[in-house]
Amino acid sequence: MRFDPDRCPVVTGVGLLTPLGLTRAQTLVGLWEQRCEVGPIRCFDASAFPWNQAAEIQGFVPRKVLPDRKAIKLMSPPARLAVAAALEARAHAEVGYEVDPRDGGLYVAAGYETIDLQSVLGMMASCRPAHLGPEDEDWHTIDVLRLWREARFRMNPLNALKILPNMALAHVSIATGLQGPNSSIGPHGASGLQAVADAALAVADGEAPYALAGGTDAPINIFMTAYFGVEGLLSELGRCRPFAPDADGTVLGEAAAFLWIEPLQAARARGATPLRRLISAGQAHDPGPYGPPRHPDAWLRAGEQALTDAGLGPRDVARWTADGWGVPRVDRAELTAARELFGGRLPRRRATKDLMGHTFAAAGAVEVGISCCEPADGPELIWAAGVDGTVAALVLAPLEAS
Amino acid sequence: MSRRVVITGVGAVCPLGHEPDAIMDAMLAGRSGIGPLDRFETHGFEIRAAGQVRDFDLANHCDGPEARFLAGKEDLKTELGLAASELAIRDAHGAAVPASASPARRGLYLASGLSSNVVRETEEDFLAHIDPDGRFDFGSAGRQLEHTESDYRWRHLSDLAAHLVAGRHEIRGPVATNYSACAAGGMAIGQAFREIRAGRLDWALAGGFESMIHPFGVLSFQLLGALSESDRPLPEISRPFDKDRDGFVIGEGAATFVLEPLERARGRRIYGEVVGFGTSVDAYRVTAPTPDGRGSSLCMQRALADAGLPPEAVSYINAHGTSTLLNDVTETLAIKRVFGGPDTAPPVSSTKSMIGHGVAAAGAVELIAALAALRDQALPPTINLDEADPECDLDYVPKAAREAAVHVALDNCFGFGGQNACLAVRRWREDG
Repeated sequence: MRFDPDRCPVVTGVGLLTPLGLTRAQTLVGLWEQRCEVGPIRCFDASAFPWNQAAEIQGFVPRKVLPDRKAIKLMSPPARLAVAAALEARAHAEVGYEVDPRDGGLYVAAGYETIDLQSVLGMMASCRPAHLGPEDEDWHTIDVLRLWREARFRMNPLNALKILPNMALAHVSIATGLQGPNSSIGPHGASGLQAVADAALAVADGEAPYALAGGTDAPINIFMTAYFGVEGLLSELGRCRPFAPDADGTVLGEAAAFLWIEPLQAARARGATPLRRLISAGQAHDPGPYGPPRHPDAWLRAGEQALTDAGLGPRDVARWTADGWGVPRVDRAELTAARELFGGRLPRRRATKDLMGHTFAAAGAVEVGISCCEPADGPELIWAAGVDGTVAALVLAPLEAS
Repeated sequence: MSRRVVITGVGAVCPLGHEPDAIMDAMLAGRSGIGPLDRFETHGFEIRAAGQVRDFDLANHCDGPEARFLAGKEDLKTELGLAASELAIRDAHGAAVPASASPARRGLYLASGLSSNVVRETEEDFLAHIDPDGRFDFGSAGRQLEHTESDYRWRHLSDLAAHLVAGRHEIRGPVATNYSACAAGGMAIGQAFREIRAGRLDWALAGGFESMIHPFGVLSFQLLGALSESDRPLPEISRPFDKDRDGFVIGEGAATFVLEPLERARGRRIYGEVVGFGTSVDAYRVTAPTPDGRGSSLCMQRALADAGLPPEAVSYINAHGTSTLLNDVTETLAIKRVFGGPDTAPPVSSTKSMIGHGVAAAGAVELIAALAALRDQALPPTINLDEADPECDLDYVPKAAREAAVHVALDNCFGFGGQNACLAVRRWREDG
């Protein structure tokens, strides 16, 4: 789909909170230094796994960043990251009182819900059958009646709210006051780019006069590590090397990225600095087994749709931001599709997962955010794929190109 | 390009049945689908009622590799989503999606809530690794998780249904799972509507599926104070807008709709025309709606503006109407903000009085009530409404259905976290 050029959506603000840094500026410095933030998993004991490396965010102290300290205890980790990144994007856009928050769109991608193990341990342990001990075979079963009568008093009711996947959007709306058109989607690696495309479309169609869009994910926990590891998607060598001959998988990363999107004319009218035009988007689904698309077809169709709708030929693209999972069979599919799409002459390629791991629902928005802050010499194609088989593509361009 | 969008297929599995016309008949007859919460042991527990899907067997609706994949995985939610999708497509096309809608121009928008965290999974993943001192043994959990067969691990993920349905029905265009809590069903259908209206898609399947009727799902809502603990007879517990309401009854189900541009639907059954869609977010609190109804009124206003309709064009509103103290009062205020007052507001009813709260599926299942109103020119009732709360002063169609000229109906769905969605549907007549 091409975003209506008469209301051409542009990015005027970017917020990034990644393993490379707690702000946009720190993340960009980390990229410039090519600093790899993949290291041993610290947030849980992963020593039993062969996949015990990840890209964690270090040093994020929510009460130093988030305005409402009381609200922090209601937020899950991805919601905290989301609010911080969203506020940075709004500040970067230098939005003032000329913008009515009732109209502002909000499009957020959030990852698979995660349960804070420590917060449920007491409840879990106390719903075992009362008359049994560790030596009994049924010691590990749940006594539902005991759960009702006793264990529930050990459960914080707010934990049930914290794990709802739309809570990132809810907290961002409260922190920013935005009340306009909105959608919370997820949970996989294409969702962040889908959310950015949804927001660009809402702005271009006139449904929202401006929008805040992004993704957030904090997938580093024992269950996601196990799921992705067992599926053969995680590196046993503990590093993500997109497209490298010795790549053996990706690593989990956590991040949030948000973009302030408004029509070019509105941005200019209020004196804001447009960073990139959002030109077009494409989406396709791969019918293969559950997991990231292993066949070039869906990659190719999403990319072709985005380029065709943008009115661009293969040689017009200056840069290709690859999804680059670092999983050989997935990278092969993406590379094959790129060769076909670009006619054998590949544009300059960028992939960042080697530095900050795969941040899943945040990943697509992270890539757009980074692109908006770097110099550009022409249109760029960004790809992102999710484990449900979806491939999303987005074309953006510097102000002088279209 | 702006095209007219119509609903040509409905698939639903809910507490009132597994077939759309039968569900519509039951809603108009005011039949309650609320019964005992008996999916697991609840002896002596305060929560006794649920709107459970009964007599459901995926094998009766769907076969093939997708059904085999789900066999034995205890993932009722995904099964409901798969079944409703199958039923909607069969209803619209008799068999498969016709080739005239090319796979790349088909889209899938499904609403889902939390992953189905069933008891067995909790026992295996959590409980087996908590030692007698209450500590979690990551080593033991890791060793077990590492050696579980992989497709078993994926069984409960909330985007699995979208993957299976897209694969089964050759949907190669956009596939998205909407996560907007109890507003998700309306959001998913609205997004599909927008894409077809703009000419970006030729065919879409949209709706929602949900089952939180498991010990942890019910417990979570109870701890939040959202569920009714009433000791009334079970079918009378869900009583939206009544002065004695004390919370909702948990429900479950799935409903999906085939949406197509009008020109492709000629000659086939048309349930109704989708004419408007609006969303808003309260930006107030994660646990409560705006007390004055401001947030949810915005989504209705936006749906009407999107449809190009004045408020007086609306003949019926299917309310979110959860039967909680807060929702029913604030929704009443929101409706009055949009429509002026009790004398000028259209009739409103809540079919949650019959089926309970379907959470992420609610907005989708309740769209069937709006379509029933269009089909029979009658208003589905709010059953159990003996005496309205003094703060709820609209016409809620109490007790029994009523004949009425229904031209345009709204479907409200509001979610935890403050997300709101509203769909506007119009009666389809060949002469427009």
